[in-house]
Amino acid sequence: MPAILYERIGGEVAVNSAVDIFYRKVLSDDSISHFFDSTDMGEQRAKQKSFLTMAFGGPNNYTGSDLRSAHKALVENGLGEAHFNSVAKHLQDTLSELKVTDDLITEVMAIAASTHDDVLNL
Amino acid sequence: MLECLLRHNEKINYSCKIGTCQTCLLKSENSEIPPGAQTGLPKNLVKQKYFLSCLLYPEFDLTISNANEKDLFRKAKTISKQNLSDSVLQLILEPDGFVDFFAGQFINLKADEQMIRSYSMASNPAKYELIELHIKRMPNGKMSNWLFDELQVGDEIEFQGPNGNSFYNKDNLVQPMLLIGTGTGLAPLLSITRSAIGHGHRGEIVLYHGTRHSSGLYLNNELLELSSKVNNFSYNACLSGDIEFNGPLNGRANELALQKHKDLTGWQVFLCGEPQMVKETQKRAYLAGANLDEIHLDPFNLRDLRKRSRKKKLNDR
Repeated sequence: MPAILYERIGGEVAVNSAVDIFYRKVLSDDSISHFFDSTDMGEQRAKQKSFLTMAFGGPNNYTGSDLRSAHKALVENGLGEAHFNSVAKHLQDTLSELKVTDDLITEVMAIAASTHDDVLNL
Repeated sequence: MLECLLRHNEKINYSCKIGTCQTCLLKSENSEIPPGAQTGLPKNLVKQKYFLSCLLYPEFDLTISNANEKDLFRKAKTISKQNLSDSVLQLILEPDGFVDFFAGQFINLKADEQMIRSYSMASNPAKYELIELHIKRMPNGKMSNWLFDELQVGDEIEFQGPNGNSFYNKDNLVQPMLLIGTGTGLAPLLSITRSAIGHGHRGEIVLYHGTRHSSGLYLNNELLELSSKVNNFSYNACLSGDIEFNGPLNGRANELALQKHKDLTGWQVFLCGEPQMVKETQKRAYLAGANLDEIHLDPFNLRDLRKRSRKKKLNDR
């Protein structure tokens, strides 16, 4: 049986190298950066780290209803399909930049895509 | 817990309410302390079951007591007081013994039970015999006015510390450093500069000091001289108000620094001063390529000063 995605992609080391690059891309994107404005940067990065851990198939405490409630206020403030796709694109670009193989990227993106309905409260 | 104690009119010291200043220390009689409430405390205080009441969210019944003075405070003698400008006092203290601190850290000075404030050390930790502080006179600041007007050379004063996790790390002598400070936010940056030069730091050391008026550039001559002596150290004085003499750049220190240094990949960044400036610059430095872990923050979280002064102004009218 092949190792789980999280191990194949490099575990916590991989998450740590990805998180700064990913969060920088998100904050530099004017179409979505305002959703990340109000919070403390240290806290915000910790959240990005949990998200990446989840997307990499790693140990996490996320449930669908957590994702729903966490994004509820953002959806009320206009978070929509386009924003979800932008974040997904930044995730994909981050992984390409880190020279993650296409197979693994496909697996990560599938996990990210599976959060779509919960994140957007559909 | 701090909020609860204040709501019930308990007399308790506090200042920043976010776990930085460590003035709201209390001691627990329980063996267990909820996680997070001891963040940043030195080992000896952790062992003695001290915690920060502002960081403690009670999860079970706790028996608490006030901090034992002897555990926390030490004594220092006032060696000299010198005005560096109209509004900045240089205070030199001789502590009762070795103070093991990192360049960039701060201590809490205590005037009396209800008056404890944080001040960054400007001195080089390698020269630990004396501690140098820069005190800005705040118009309605009880502590700063007391230090300016009441404290006499020769007097003893109590202090606690060192505290703070924004400091120079001598393990990477080639890494370039960008230091941005406003007002007396210069003090910890001066300590870092002195320490780095003392350790033979080889990477660039770029200091931006910003104030509104020229009198706020309270170490202009000394820093110009230092920059002429040390090749990899540069000093940029910035005035956001009127320029009254040749030399300073015109604008806000953080703006000017970020305009000049557009790519901060691999840089160590130190920010000290007004919280909004620190927070905004943190974000921009990060977007310019600095690692979040290598952007060190030392915001002045002043306690209620602004609120009081505004109220007073209204009453004056």
